[in-house]
Amino acid sequence: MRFSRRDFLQLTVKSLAFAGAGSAFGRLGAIDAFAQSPGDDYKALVCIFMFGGVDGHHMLIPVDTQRFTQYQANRGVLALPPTEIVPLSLADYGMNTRMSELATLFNAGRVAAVANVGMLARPTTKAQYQGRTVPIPSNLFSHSDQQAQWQTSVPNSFGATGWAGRTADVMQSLNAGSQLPIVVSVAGSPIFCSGAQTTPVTVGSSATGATPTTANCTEGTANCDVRSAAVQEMLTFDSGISLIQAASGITTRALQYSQVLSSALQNLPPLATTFPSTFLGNQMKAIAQIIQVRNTMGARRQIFFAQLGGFDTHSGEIQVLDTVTNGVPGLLAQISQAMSAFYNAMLELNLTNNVTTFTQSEFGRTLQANAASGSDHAWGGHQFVMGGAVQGGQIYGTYPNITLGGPDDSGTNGRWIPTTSLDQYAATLASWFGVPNDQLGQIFPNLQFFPNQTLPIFGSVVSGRRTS
Amino acid sequence: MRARQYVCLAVLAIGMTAGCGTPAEVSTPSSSRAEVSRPNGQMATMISTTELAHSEISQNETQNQVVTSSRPVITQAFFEEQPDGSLGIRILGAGFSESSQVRVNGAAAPTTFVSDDQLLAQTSLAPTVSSAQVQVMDVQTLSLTDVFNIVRMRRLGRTPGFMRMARFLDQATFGYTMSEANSLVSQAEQLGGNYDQAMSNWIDQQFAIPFVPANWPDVPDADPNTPGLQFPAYCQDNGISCLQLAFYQNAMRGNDQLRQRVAFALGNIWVISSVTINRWDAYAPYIRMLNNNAFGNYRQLMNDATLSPAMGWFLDMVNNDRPRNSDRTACTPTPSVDCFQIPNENYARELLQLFTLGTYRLNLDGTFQLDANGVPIPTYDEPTIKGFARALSGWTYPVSPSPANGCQPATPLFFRGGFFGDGLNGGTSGCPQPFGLNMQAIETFHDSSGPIPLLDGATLAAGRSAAGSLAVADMNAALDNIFNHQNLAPFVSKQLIQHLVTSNPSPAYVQRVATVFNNNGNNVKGDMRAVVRAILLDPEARAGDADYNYQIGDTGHLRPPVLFVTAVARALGMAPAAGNPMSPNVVSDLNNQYSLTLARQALLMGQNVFGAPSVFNYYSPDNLLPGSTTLVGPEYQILTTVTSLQRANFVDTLSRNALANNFNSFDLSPFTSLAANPEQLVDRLNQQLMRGQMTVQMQQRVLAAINAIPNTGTASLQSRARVAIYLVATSSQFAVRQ
Repeated sequence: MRFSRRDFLQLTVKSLAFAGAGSAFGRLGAIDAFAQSPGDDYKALVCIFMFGGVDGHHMLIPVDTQRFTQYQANRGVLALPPTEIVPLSLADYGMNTRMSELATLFNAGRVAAVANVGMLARPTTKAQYQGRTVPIPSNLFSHSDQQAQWQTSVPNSFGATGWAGRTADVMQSLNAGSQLPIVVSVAGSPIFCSGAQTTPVTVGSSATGATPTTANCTEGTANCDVRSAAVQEMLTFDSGISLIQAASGITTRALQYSQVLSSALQNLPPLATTFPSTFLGNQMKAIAQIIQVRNTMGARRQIFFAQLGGFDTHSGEIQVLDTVTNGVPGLLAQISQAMSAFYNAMLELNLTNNVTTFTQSEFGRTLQANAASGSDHAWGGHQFVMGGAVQGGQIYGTYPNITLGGPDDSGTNGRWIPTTSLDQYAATLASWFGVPNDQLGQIFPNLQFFPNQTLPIFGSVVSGRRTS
Repeated sequence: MRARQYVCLAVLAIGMTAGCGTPAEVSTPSSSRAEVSRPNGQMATMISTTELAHSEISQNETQNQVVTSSRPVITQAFFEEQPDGSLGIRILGAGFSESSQVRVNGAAAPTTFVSDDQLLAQTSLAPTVSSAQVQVMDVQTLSLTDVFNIVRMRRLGRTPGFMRMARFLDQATFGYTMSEANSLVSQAEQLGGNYDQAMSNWIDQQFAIPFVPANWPDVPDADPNTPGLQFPAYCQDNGISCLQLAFYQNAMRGNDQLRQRVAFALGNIWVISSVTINRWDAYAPYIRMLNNNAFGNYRQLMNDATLSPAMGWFLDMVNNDRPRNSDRTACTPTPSVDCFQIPNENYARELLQLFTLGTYRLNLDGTFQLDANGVPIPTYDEPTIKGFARALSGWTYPVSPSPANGCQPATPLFFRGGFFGDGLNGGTSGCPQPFGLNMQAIETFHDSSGPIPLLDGATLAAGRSAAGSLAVADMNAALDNIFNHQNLAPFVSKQLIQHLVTSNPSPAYVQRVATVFNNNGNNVKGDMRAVVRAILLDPEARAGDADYNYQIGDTGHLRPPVLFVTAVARALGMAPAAGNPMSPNVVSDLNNQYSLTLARQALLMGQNVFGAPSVFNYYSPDNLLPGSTTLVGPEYQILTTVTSLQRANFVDTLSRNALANNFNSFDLSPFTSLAANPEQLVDRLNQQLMRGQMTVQMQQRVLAAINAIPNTGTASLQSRARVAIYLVATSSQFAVRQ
């Protein structure tokens, strides 16, 4: 067959960008059904963490006349003009034109938004917040604390494990025999990835994708073997000192995994999908390659961590988020382009239904601009979920009332009290990943306080698969 | 528990199920573990002839041991020079008690019971003795362990005095060198063996070395004939690469080690980053400021950092306008500069959270103050942050009193609502900026309204006035308000301890230092000299100085990449070129060889000096040690399965002298010349890299590896030297500076 299915899918995806939103929805759905092999129970979650606190008001904008007027008045110089907003198929909302790829996928039903999601210890009203009559997450508005809380799902900063790590703890039996841990980070080793029983592997990335680091040796085979044997044995020494043991543990795993990965990634058929040559683009390419070798690795479940920083836009926000500088797109375009390329790669691998990508960020930002054309730390924000399993084209949760000092404002500057908790958001993802309902509480200890444990992002089909 | 299971499995695999899980097995080091699992009792080939005699326990003896498993067991024993010059024997094992008695060569020796797994025996052996046989007898039950043969590792110059001085210098510098440690030993000997006094004197000598701004020179203008500053090409566009070179050159060569080391610690607290401050001319003055304040007063540091244009640029204190609450209609239809209603909170928040107080109220010992429910009490709330943002409003970039012709406006300009990320302030593009001056206040942009809330109910009152500038007076009041807060001393003291000495200081240690921070003895708060001295000379910092076997618990810290790189390089005697780090003859190959500089190598390990990912630095002081819920390991935040191998590969590159040759080479020949006598090579590395505190177990494993490389001539000896250096410098025992 001259015209392979892969070519067919690629071609279709490329044409989608130009197709009308309505027609694209149906066609894409049909393709995914065709591509999906029903017996493949592989699932991956891909987290993209936007460090610094992304300004949701600059990504997802209410465009009905009444609220848009309110938006412009309250945002001042940071308000996007109508010409820089791409309308969505969902009435009354638009997205920043720098995120047009995500908007296209949104309209195609492959991306959903989750509005005003943030750290909560309990469902919280304004009166409860002001009166402190319910527990409030500690150190709101602090980067380090809120990053830790988004990663641990514990509304103080003393969580010792991350929710991806704990999800891996629950799911690791499904990966029995895998040569890699469930959690793979292509961006450092944040607490998000560490479980009580499981530890992550970190893999580097570059323009060529995944770049596992291996130990160099040029002493000749025999002497390198001598050196390597001594290294390996010294790593097993029980020094009785936790600091030394921790370092040995990490190096031991490094030697083990780098070997496995670098040999698996050798002679990998290159992906036809082109990734943007950005920091995040490289990471997403690396993730796609590691997913490519999932069967070699024996992985049935994987959680990936990628990240992009720089969202702490206290000044010059437009420049940072929107403006192309020296050929480098602004941060929002970087997010959109990298996510879109990753979606295409999953389409190429016939895995769109198996892989769900989602964003996190420690907090939203004030609706009001400050004097330096920036915005300050706030609370609830907007996030995106992408994948074939996602019931996209929707906003889940409740878009906040953007009245300054209004019912959703924790103060007077537009710092929204979240209406959806991080626990609900994360539990939805973990549930799709396969965590049984009765074990969600052990991963998300505060979930019990919220009336709906999960959001219907994945519809009902997914919940039927949970016990698989 | 995992170790126990592992041992059991190893033994089971050989079919020797008996004895699995006994305490002796659990604490058996792996070298011995391998031997125990050998049914024929032969020594493992990787263990040299000087291996512990435990390996010679026969199969029968092993099984016999299992039958009477309640009796004491020796798993390791080694000679240990005592402070009085005599030769002691330290014995590790299990089942020891007050009634344990060590027998040396068949005769009872005076025994100190340390713990149920450790004994220390006094001997009358000659200091030159090379072997001994030991047993432990229980004088009540008369049960006796097997004979354990000790073979002595040679320990060149490994005196308690040397170890003490080397360990002290390892904390106080960018890595001790043999010459500095030996020099300090001589000084102590001249003081009649008073090592404490020698350390104190060294600190005084370091305090007396004046700060030399020229160590951090301004970047040369590559093209003085063209208006504006031209960074030399070899400094790679913005000069930060050359600033990094200066850093490593100073760290490796400078005699003002303590000042630099404290300044480096301060720079890991008062973080700015070349991610934003991507100009040498803005960055260098900030580094000078840190070095200048390293031995000053913390209050002055707070002032100088707050008014630094680089910090102002990094955290948006520059051009932080007062809130304009007057008229929201100014926002529509086209927003005017009077539309903005909130001050920029960036600097105010991090000043309180990261640089001075932290988010929770602290006791003097650094522990959290708890409310009635046992919950930590926040130090401040959101209105306080806003208050400080208002108190610190009205500042902008300085202008030069004598601007270059056509370059600068005569008065400072305050820009509202604009983006001036390149640090320019309306001067002619590309003109030199006076980043070395403090920011300047413009009163009309300062919030003179009130009351402005500060910490703990203090306010800047409505209608207040000042003799001079209100912006200056308000800034001083705001900084005083912070300086007087009870959190400052424990917060800063603990972090400095973590950077200099140990990640997990006891509360008592923190309290002792914080007490000095609050009062240096002359009723002065914030005296950095007193604080640094208190940190380095504290009994907890000095505990374990003369310990041969690292039995000093979880003290110390993982060397962060910068200190890892400098420690290896200094220990091996690397000699970077002298002279101005900016002169082309020093850095001519920077463009071609940047990837082989120490700066780039540390970057690969996760610490790009001067280029932290954010104001939260490379790692958090609160980062939990992997696998622990009680200990922190800040530097482990950047030790991953990637960066751990980058560390190893750095050592590999370095051992081959394949780093950038102008500044990063060392002489391998002293090690090669010892390689024919492997014990001496191990001794040398023990002394030169690990202060003489390398465990016997590790010495023996390195020795075995060297012996496993046949001596077939010079090339093989060089390989032996490189492999030995690699094994020591990549070991977890070196990575963690105890």
